[in-house]
Amino acid sequence: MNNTSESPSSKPNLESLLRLKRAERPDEAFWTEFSIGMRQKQLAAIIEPKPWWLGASLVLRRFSFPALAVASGAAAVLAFTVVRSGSSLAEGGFSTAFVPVVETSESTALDATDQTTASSESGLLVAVTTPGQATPTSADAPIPVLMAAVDSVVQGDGDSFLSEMLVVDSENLVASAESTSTMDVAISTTEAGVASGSVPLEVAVRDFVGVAWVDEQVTKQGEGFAKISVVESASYTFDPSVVGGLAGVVVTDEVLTMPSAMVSVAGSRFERLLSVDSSKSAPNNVGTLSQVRDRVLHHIGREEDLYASVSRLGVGGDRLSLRF
Amino acid sequence: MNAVTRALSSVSSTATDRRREAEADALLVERIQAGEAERFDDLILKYRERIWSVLYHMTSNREDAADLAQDTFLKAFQSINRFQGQSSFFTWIYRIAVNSALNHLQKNKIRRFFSLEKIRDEDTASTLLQQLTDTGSGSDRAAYLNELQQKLNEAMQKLSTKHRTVVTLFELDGLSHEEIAEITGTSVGTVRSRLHYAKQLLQAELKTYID
Repeated sequence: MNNTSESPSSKPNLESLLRLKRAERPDEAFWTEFSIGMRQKQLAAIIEPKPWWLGASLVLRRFSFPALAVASGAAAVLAFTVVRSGSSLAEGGFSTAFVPVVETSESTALDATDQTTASSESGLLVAVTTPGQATPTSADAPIPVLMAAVDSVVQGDGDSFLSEMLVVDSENLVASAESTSTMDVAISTTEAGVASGSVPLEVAVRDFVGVAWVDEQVTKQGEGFAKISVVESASYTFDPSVVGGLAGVVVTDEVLTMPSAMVSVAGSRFERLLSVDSSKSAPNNVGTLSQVRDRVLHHIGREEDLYASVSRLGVGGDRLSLRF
Repeated sequence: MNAVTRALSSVSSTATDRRREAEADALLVERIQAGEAERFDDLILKYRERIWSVLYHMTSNREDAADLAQDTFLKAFQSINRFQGQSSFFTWIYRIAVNSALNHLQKNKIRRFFSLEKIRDEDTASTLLQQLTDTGSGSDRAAYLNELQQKLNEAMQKLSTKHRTVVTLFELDGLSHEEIAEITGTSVGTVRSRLHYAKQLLQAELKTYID
């Protein structure tokens, strides 16, 4: 290439250079390729589905409200994310087939003959029994409160779940579903039972654990949990004598199957935590029970702090996600 | 006096041509909106070189220009039903192309791959070569021409996108100030001002090579 020092004596002007640039044209082969590429892009555009919210946004833009269109699009995406999160939770957490496997009779109790620990991964029923202890009946202990509640969930009576929890033992429970939480009612009822000697401490702890878990689930899931009438028939098997003996219920089936609604992922850690606390709290006095309750409530507070500290908003690429 | 008359008649004929062109485009657009989608190919064939040329002069890269031109036609096709004829189709599609180019340049500020096209206009090339007859042999002249082309591209890329757009549309694509104002969404005064400033910058940048 020539150096500028060798440039000609008569230099072109800017107009000439611009005319030179104007004359730059691609050849025919280029246009053939161009047409092919154009056709491919047209086909791809036809095949590729447009996201529904883009259409909504364009419709709104036509009405000359660009800010409204953007806001509506963002709201739609957010709502879509929420709906999808909710549905995936329902699909993953609670499932489909309902098999009623537990039958209860509040008037009959079975003796627990072995010191047995029945536990599931869920920790819903963490029971520690001692030989020779008679299980209480519904008339003098709050245990059937929990079991009747669980039973009503298992039997698909989800709508009346909360009300049944609070109404079963009329002597000990003087609370309404609207004014008092289930945990408070259960704790106070259990404490009264232990104090009067009618409820063994182990059973009281178990009862507390179960009610606390249910209460937390109800709080977390709101009405959705209470309305679950379809539960999974899979997975968790209990010794009927242990469960029946502890709960004061008659178990007619050989194998008890717990609904997997009770073993959601969200609840598992919490239940393990409670089970550890309850198993450590064997001493038979009311003060220990209070300590257990305090400890559990302390742990609950820490768990809630942990949940609160996790960011639920995520931004990646062109998506905004909200985790639940 | 004759030159002035010729210039005026040239402007007048250009305006008339543009009006006829706009009317023909409007008819085509109506047919496309009525469902004859294949008519859009006529519009592509009609405008592809001009659209590509604008995009090429703005990006100085033939492949990028081709991609952007395809995207421009695709966008126009997808939203042809929203075209209400308030401006001419020609202005509308130019606006899409210019906006696509500006977005592309904004996204690819760092990446700069220049590619040169061959000069197809023999008259322009021969005129320019005549000016360069005393540079030596034929191969030297061709090399010098190539160098000028490259320097002009570099100078164009040193302009801001606003100034480059105006120079491209006015000097290289031959649009009027009014049309450029409509496409860029600015006033005619702004267009004139930007054009003047851009040419000054180009002169300064190419002062070694031009008079």
